Amino acid sequence: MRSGCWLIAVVLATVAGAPAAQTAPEQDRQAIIQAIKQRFPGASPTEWTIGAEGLTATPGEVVTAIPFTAENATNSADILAIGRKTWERKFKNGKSMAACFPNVGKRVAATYPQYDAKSKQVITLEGAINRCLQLHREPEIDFANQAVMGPLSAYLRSLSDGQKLAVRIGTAGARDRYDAGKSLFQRRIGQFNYACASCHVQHAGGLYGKSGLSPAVGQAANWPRLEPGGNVRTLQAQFQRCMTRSRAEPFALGSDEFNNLEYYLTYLSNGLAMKTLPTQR
Amino acid sequence: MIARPVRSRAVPRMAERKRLAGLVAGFLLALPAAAQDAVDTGRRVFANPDKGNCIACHQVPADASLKSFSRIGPSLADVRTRIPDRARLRAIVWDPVASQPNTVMPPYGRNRILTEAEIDAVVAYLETL
Repeated sequence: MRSGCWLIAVVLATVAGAPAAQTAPEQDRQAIIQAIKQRFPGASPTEWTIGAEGLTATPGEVVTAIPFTAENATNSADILAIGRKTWERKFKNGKSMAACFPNVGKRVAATYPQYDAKSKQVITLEGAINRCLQLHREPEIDFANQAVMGPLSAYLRSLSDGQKLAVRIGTAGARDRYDAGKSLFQRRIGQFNYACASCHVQHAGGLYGKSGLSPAVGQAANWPRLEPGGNVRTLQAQFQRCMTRSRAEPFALGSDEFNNLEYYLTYLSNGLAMKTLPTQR
Repeated sequence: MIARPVRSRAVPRMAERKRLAGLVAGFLLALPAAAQDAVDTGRRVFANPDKGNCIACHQVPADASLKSFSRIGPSLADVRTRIPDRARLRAIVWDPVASQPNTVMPPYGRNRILTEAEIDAVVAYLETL
């Protein structure tokens, strides 16, 4: 069997529910890239960060990217301004969020999510924000409060725009969390029986109704996203939307399940440049 | 006492014949109407995002008012020619994974997404495409 066929066989076998082979994370990443490239020859992962529009598909199959307009730009600027306000808000002890992150938050987001060996948990950027608030005895932000967490996360990530994602899976504990995320990504769930991989590997670049299916590689580089109406949606909030579409009971934002999934998914985009609030969809 | 057998009339009287003819005509008229109802119901289930949402993945060239550009699932043209066996077509809708393990098509019957009657209606609609 040719290597390309083997890679696709691995991806499809795991989508179909066969036990996931314990492959190294970089092999996983390459297998998905090759599986998508088999369907879209010549497509480059560097273009996949904008979503389904980044794949060269059959005309009429893929949605057109919503272009940047003055209105979009204004929305993005407004959202980032809201996030910045929260970021700079003084705590009761006189400090602010910037005190919790190296380099006052600049160029740090690209390394998140991180594995915390002490708690044996994955810490997402939003999780780190709440840890910061906890440390300074400030009320935490509900992960589901997208109106506050969304702009704050977007602002902090915008300080890393252009940075290449560099998530580390450095220890056995980290690898366990990564494998758990990978397993969830491949698991068929809900009444509709979809796996994340069904849409974002097997049918990446296609259309589900009017929604373009973004490739798994590249997704994590461009969240949060702006939606029509100016709302911000974090990556985990999108996980919930996907699970609802599969008619599954969504996990909670900030849950171990979603944190592991974000860890795996973000690793898949390692080496790709971050771009916050890229488009409306 | 021995009861006398009732003699059946081989030829019904005119009034009875008219009544029977009316019943048969009514039945023949009602059958296509019921079949059309099933097709209409199936079409609604097919297109409804809260029901089958089949339109999200399939194109239906024969039904111009249902627009889809998706190619996730195969185009549903000439279904009756391609799958003439109604039972097989129904089985695919009920649980496509059974015959195609890698498909992303939902198992509408196995996972109780649709009722058995709704699946029958969808099959009736598919056979018109």
